[in-house]
Amino acid sequence: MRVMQQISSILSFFPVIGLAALGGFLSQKSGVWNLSLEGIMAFGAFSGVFAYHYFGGSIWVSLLFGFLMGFVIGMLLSALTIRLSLDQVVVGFGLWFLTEGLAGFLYNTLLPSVKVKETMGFRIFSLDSVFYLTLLSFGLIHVVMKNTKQGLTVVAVGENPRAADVAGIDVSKVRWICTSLGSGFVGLAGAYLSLVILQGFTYNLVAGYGWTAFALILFGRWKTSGVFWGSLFFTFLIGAQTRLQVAGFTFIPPEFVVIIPHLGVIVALATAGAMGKKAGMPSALGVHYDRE
Amino acid sequence: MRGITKRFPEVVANDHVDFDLRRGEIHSILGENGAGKTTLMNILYGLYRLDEGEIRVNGQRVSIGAPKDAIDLGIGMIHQSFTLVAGLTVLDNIILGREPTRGPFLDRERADREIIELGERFKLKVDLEARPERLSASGKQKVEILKALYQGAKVLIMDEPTSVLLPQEKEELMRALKEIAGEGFISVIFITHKLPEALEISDRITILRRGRVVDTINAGDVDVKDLARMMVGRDVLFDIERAESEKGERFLEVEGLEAFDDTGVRTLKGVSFEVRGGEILGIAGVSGNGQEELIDVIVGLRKASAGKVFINGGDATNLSPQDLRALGVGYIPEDRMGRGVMPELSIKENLILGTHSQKPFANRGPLPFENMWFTDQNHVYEYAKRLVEEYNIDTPSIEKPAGKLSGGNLQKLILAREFSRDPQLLIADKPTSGLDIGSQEFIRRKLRGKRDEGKAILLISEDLDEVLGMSDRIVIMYEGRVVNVVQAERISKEEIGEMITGLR
Repeated sequence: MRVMQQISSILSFFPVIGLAALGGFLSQKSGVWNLSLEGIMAFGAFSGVFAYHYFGGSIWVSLLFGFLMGFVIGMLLSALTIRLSLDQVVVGFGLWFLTEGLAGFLYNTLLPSVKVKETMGFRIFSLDSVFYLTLLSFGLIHVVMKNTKQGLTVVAVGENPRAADVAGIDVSKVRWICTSLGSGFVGLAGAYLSLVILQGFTYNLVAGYGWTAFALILFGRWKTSGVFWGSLFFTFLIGAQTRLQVAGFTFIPPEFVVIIPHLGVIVALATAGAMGKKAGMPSALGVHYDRE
Repeated sequence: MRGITKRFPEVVANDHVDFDLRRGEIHSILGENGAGKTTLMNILYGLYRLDEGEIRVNGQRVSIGAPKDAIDLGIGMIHQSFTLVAGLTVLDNIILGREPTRGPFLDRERADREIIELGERFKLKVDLEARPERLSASGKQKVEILKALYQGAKVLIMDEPTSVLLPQEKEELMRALKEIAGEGFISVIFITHKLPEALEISDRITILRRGRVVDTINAGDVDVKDLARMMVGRDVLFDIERAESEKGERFLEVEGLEAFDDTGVRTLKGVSFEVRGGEILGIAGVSGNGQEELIDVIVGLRKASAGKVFINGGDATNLSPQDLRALGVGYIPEDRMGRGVMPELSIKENLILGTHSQKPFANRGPLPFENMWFTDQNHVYEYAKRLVEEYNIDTPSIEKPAGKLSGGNLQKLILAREFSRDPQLLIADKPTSGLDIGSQEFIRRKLRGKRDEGKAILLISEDLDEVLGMSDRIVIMYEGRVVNVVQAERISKEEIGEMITGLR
């Protein structure tokens, strides 16, 4: 019984990593690097707490607001990269700093200190509905990518936008949708982190989870299943880290314990790299498409 | 299409072009590279916006702003560079953009049935489960044709479709297109710069020159010479005079050369020959019979697994490309964009590539080191300017990326760079393939000039007329071996044709 409890408690962190990775994945599949995951998560985290404080204290409304703000940043990212054809890497880093800084600044000025008291009601195996929603999203996107017209369209746009264009597909529209929707997921991941996991906003709360999620997309070889298993694995690594800290293994300096997940990322990426450099990567990832 | 005009920043690509297409006909658009053929068709397909003029389909004036509009009007286009998505199956590629669905899901079974039916009707067989990147050029082309037909094309635009095909595949394509047009309700627009093809396949031919229509004629009313005159604007010399030249020293000699291809198959199985100064040695053979590996070994891009290469009598086996170039080997590769230039760099920069770190392009400025540090921009500019003029490279500016040049101008750039190093041996790999008649003539004349100066030239070509017309001697390759070495004037095209296909 204690083991089961431990497992559920570790798994309760899964939506943070899973939703963020899934969001970035969607955008990359259509050919757009989203390098602002870290910042969008922070902004989503702030937006969730902001909505909780001002819009009546419903967790669901707050989560939705986090999603929406992520979506809005995604639209900004699309506008800059797709419409104005700016470099995706430059824009990605710029938006990361902007949104992360803005989240901290707005929190300091607008919300001195908020403690989230609500918890998610519905639970199976002491895991809340967002956990199951995340599982469902993975399943849904897996099926969409493999077996629907929409999925085929996204893959074609990410692989060969010219071919998609010639086949009558609006490349920019597909990229707009994927990037914005994906950023929405990332915002949701951030809101879940602040509202449910930490029950409040603290400065620098994302602490590299956005980059972990980013690495997982590469580690998962741009496959829904790969990203899923990777996210699950890292959820456990993060769980192991916090538990080791709590258990107080004093003979290991705490600084070393903190780096466990990040060490995992490096090992995973190195393995992925050794298996073959870019296998699975959408060929047109990061390449702006223009007709003439 | 009436009065179609399209202007690009530096050039008018289409100048009041009129073009009409009848139901069920094959209509060729003939013109040199840069004559505006592809631009005109890109306008029809919605990839470019027209500046003036109007398009009517079945008498109705239409506006085509995107490929989707064209597809909806029943216009399909097969581009010269294929537009297939790697990683998706052939089936997914064909249905892309017009996917049959059942509920929210793709109905791949229905698609499979419909495509097979379509394939049988027009005798186009493809493996629907294959990935396009594994198909040959001709296989990819069939997929593209099926894709257009599946999307409901009533007009099939084929942009230079034969440039990537082998002779027998060409025949197959011609037959398939006649089949498609023969049913009477699908028309084909056939873009080409090859005169015999246009004559063979078309009902009518429209000739474009510098963005304007020269004439539209019935294919039965003209011959190759008339067409050439209309296309180039002057009479064209098809045969080049072969002057006797002094045979010089043996410059290149290969002995029992063997090599493996990228997949680890031994495709070069012991080849020996020699090239002397003042001669053009032609290598005739169907692609894939070891010529690629042979060239790679000679220019230092592939290791020989056995055998020797001698340059000027010295052993040059498996030297680096840099060392070989220093020994006087020049290389005109078949893959111009990939091997010939750096497409992102400017014309100017490409012209000094390889010599950019040597005098006079580089100097050490005021620094007290022996190595070269700075490029002398003024000198580079003057030098590039001169070469561009001398080699007739048609460009508004030498600062433009080399990748933006048309095929003929790109080849002239490569020629200019290689010639200016004054090589003793030139390896010209299919130097005129895909080029218009004007550029072909220019390049052949330049190569001849080098031969008459006493340089050694190794010419690889699939175009038998070219090999016969240019070479002094011809090496015939089949399945990685030399099957014969003959004097060019003592052999006919038919005899070579039989030898390269292994019939003799």
